[in-house]
Amino acid sequence: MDRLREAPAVSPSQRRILRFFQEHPQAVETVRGISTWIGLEPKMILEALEGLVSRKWLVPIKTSAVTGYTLTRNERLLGQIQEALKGS
Amino acid sequence: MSHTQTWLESFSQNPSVRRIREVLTRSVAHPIWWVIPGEMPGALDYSTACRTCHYVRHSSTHRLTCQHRFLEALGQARQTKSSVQFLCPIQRYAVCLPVSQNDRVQGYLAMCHSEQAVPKASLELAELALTTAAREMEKTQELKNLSETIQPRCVALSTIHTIHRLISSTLNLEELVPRVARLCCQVLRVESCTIWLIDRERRLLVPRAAIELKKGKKRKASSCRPGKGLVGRVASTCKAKLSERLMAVPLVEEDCLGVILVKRPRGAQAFSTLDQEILTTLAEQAVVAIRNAQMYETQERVTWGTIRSLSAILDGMDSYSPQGASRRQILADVALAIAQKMGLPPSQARPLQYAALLHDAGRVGIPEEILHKPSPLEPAELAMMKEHPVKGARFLEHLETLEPAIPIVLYHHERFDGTGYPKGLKKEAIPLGARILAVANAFEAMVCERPYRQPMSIAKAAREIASHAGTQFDPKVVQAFLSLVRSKRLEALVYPRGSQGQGG
Repeated sequence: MDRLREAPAVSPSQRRILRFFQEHPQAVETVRGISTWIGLEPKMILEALEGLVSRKWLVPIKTSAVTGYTLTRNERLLGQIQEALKGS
Repeated sequence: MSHTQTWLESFSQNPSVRRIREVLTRSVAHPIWWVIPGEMPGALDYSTACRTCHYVRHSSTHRLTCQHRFLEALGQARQTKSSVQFLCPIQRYAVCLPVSQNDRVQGYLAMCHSEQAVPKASLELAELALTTAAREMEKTQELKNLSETIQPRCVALSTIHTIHRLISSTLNLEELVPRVARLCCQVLRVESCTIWLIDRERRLLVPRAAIELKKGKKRKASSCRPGKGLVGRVASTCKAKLSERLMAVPLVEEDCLGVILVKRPRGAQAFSTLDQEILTTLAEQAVVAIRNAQMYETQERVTWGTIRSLSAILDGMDSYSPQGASRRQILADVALAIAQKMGLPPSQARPLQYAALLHDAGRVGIPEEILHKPSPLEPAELAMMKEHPVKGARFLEHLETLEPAIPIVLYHHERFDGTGYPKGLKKEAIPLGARILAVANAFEAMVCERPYRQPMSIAKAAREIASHAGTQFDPKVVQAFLSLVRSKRLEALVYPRGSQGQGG
C-alpha cells in the first residue's frame, strides 16, 4: 500500500517527460523545448506538466515571458519518480 | 555491455538476418543455427547445439572434434570473406557465412546439422542479404553514436537558451540574482550557490543571493573585500577557482561585477573542467542580465530624482502649505498603497507613483487667483481648469520613461459613470491607474488643508468617497481604499512623524 501511495500512476505522456528529465537532469526546458525533445504536441505536454508540477516532481521557474521546467532536487520525490517509472 | 555483446544482440534481432534464417531453414531439414561473434573466436558455445545434436551432447571429445572442424571453416570464411560449406564429423552439412562491417569480419552466421547441402545460389543470395543487413547495422550504430554524442549537447544548448530567456525577462536585481543562483543549483546539481556583487561605493563584495537546497540549512554569506579570501581573489584576478567540492567563477563584462560560488557536499562527485565550463557559460549569460538590471536601476534612480525635483518645483508653486509632507508625496503614497492592496505589479505601480507626483503639472500657466479661488469657478475659469490633464499629459510626452504615466495623468479626472473629463470615458475604459489616482486625489484633497477650508478627518473623507463608489469612483478601487482605512495604514501616510492634524 505504501508503495502505491508513494508512486502514483503516470500517463504515457508524463512518463515520456519524466524519462527525458531523468536522462537530462540538468535540463531547464520550456513546453516548446520538451515538445521538440519527446515529440508530443505542446497542448498534451502542458496537460501532462500540470500533474507533474502538482506532485512537485517538476519545478516550474516562472517569469512574465516564459516558464522553464526542471527536475526536482528533492531526494524523496526523485525516489517516487523512480518508482513510478519502474516496469516500463 | 561489451562491443561483442552489443553486436550479438543487434545481429540476432536484425529483421533481415531473421529472414535469411527463415528462408534457408525452409530449404534444409532441421538445421542448428549459430550466431558467432568476433573475428576469430577461440571456442564455440555448445549450449544450443547440445540440445539437438546427439554427437556433441554426450562427449566432450566429440565437441572438440566438431569445434576444430568449425573453427577451421570460420578461418577459411574469414580469409575469403565468403561463405564456406563443409561436412561435420557426423557427415551432416554445415555452412559459415561471415558478416563484415567496415571491411572487417565482426562475426558469423552459421548453420549445421543439415541433411542436405545448401544450394550455391541460395548461399550467394544469403551472403548478399547478410552484407545488406551488416550495412544496415553499421548505419544504425552510426546514428546511435551520433545521437548519443549530439543529443546531450543539444539539450545543454537548449537549456542555455531557456536560461537566457528566464534571466533576461527581468530587470529587477532582487528577483534576478536569486533566480540565477537557483538555476546554477539546478544545472550543476549542486546543493548551494552564493552570488556576490561588487558595491563600487563601499568597495565591497556584497552577497546578493545565497541558496541552500538542503532542508533545515540556512545559507549565510558575508561581505568581503576584493583581493581578500577566495571570493575576493576570484573577483580581483577575474580568474575562476576550481577544486573538488568548490567552484567560483567571476562575473566579468569589461570589469568584474561579482562572483558566483557553488559547493558540493563531501562524498559527492568532484567538480570537473566541464562543470567549470558550464558555470562560466551561465556566468556569461548572467553578467549581461545583471549589467542591464544595474543600468535600469540607475536609470530608474535618475528618472525618480528628476520627477521628485519637478514635483518639488510644483510644491513650491502651491501658495498654501502642506502638513509636514508634500501633498503630492501623500497622494503618491496613498495611490501606491491602493495599487499594492489591489495586487498591481511594480511595473504598473511605478508609473502610478510618477503620475501622482506630476498629475497637476498642467496647472502651470493657470492664474493663481483661479487655482486658489475660494468661491465656485465661473464657466470660463472651469473650462481652463479642465484643460490641465491634457496639458499635463503633453508635458510628460517629452520624457520617454514617463510614457506609461501619461494615460494616468490624462484620465485622472474621468468619472466611473462617464461624466468626467477630458473624454467622458466610462468604467473599465478608464485606465486602472487613473481610477486609483482619482480616489487618492479626492482623498488627499479632503484630508489636506486648503486655503478655503479646514482638512477633513480620514474617517469622514472615507465616508465621502464610499458614497461616490460606482458614480465617481470604481467600486473595486474604493473597496481596496476602505480596507486600507480600516487597517489604519493611511494615517501614517497622511500624518507622518506623528503629526495629528485631523480636522473635524
